[in-house]
Amino acid sequence: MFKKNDLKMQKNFVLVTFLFIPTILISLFMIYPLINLVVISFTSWDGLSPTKTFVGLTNFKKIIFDSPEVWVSLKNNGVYFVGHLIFIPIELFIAFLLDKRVRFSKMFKTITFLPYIINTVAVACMFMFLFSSQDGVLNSMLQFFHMDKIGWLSDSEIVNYSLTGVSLWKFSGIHIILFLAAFQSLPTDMIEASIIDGASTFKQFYHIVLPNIKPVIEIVLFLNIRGALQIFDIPYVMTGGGPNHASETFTVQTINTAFQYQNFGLACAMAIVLMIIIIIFSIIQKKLFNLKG
Amino acid sequence: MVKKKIFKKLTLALVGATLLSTIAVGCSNANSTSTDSDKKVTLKIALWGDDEYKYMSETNKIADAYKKEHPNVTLEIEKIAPKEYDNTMKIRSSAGQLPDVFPVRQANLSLYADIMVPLNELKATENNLYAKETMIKGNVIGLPEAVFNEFVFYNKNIFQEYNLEIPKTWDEFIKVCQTIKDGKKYTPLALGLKDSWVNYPLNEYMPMLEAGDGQYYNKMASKDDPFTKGEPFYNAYTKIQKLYDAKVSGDDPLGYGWDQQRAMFVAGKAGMLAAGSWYKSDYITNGGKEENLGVFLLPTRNTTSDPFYTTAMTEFFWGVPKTSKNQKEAKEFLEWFFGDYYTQLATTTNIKPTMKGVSYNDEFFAQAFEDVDAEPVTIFYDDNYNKVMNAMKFDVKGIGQQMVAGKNSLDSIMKDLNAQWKKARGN
Repeated sequence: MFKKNDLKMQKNFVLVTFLFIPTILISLFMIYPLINLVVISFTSWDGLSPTKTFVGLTNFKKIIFDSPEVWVSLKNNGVYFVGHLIFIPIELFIAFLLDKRVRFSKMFKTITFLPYIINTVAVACMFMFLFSSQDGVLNSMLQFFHMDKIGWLSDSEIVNYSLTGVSLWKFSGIHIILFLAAFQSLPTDMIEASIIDGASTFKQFYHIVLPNIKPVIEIVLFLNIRGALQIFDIPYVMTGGGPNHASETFTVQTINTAFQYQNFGLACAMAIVLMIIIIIFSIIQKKLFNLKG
Repeated sequence: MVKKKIFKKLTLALVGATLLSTIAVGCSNANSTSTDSDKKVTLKIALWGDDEYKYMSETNKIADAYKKEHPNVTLEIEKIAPKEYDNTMKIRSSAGQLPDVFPVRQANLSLYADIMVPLNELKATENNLYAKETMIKGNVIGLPEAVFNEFVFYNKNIFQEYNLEIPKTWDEFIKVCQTIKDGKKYTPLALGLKDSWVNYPLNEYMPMLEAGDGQYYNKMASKDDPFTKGEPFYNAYTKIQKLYDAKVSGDDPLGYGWDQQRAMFVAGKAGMLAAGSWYKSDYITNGGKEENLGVFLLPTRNTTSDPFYTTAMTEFFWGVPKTSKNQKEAKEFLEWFFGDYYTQLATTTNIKPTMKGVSYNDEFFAQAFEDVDAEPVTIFYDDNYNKVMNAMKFDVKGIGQQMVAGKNSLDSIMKDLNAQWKKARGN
């Protein structure tokens, strides 16, 4: 009896000590800021004044009914989302090839993953020089072939595609590595059995590999939604949201609302709206993905 | 049972101790405002200016100089990167951790109206040439340290090559640009509009020059349609559009930014660059040849018989926050700072002073004022304007990019602005 209690106490002690610090950290750095975010979203706080005036749902109404620029910025986020979505099958295929199906696969794996580990600001700076209209590499190449220059970052019709290209260059590596890890965790006997049965590489991929890596695909799709809707650093560094707000994403708009236009209340409401959009899109995507059972 | 109780107590004690230590750490006041029994005070100062910080921490150590006259006061200076300064101060304000003395950027002055201590009664305020012009809600909440003029920097060799003279009117300015452009060797006016802020001497300041009023934006805040044809804003933007339409900043100015703009100018690939007096040190730092650098005031007037307005932008508004526990000492420090120490600082760092009796002899910039009867207009944005600007997200620099892109006519841009402005004022 005494021993049983002793064990229970020890268990409780370990539980409390192990959980106390993480709980405090999560409360301090996640729960408390989240509560604060929600509270501020119902105020017209300018980020500095000691008083926070309660304005009810005004900020949310303004975002939904009276801020066309917010919806334009979401459209820009859509370009990143669609770009990455289109690229996912290509990433899958590259990962499939890199899974011991090409020579020097180890070297290619490293090359594929390298962009992801480079600092995003450095990547953005590098591409700024590639895209520049003054002595930029890409335009110089076009001129070499007697073609007209392209306003990679200056044409409001093109700028979002240029930035999506940078985002693809930077983030495709991590998707490929995730797919590759999924491929390598597959039991080899299934593939071997299919080879004996005479299945082609495509059939192996479609009937065996794909169904077995479904959870990883789901994760990559979720990462895509989250990443596309929260993209900030690439447009902020490369164009600052310009020209004339043409490449402003939702997060760039939120940051500018808070720090440039001194409206923290509205910016917090925008952050909550973004959170809700991500949740809704993820649920829709999950439902669509699982339609086939 | 005994063991159980001991464990329970031990667990509680551990949890309690950790909680207390967390609270203690969280609430510990990192602010240096310690007032001991011997009244020793530490004043914390933060700033963003590189030259000022170098002078105060190395050339003529402000802490040592102040200690000689106020032995009980220790000064601690902290330099914050210019780009991070505003946000850092906002975060510190939220945390109640603002330094005892710090400069506020003019653009944020009205935001700090209720945060800062009024400095109306200080002698330094009396002696400051611009303090009364930059009051917020009837109070002087910051003393400006420097005043900047805007210039057009030019490459003397290129001007010599094309026998160009300093332009005195807007049309002459465009003509100079056009002549350089026709030579097909250089970019006439380096303007890397990928970074929208670089057009501030044009898109932000020209309406004030057109109106001959540094507080023109504040007056616009009392009108419903200040972008109508015939208004100073519209007239100024018509002139700017003429310059942009002349395509004198390369074939795609929206495709390069400030870094390339200044690189082009330093390398002698561009004839002119419009910026504030701050740019001169930047030019030298980046390897530009001083003997090749000339300067003139941006001529925005229509004819030589019109007044020649030029902007004067006050900056670095030194103030004391209400949260400071050493407000008396901080005010004393400001009185001292804007005395002899300021005279030495202004002379060494070559800033245009804001204090009465402090002389300014900069031969380089003096050449810009020769042969023109320039009338400076002091720029100042008040609370009313800031409210409208923030409500409609009014971004003159973005409009500049829009004008260069040329997809919308100036009339349609102005019409949209009128509608948005009226709506923002109504809210």
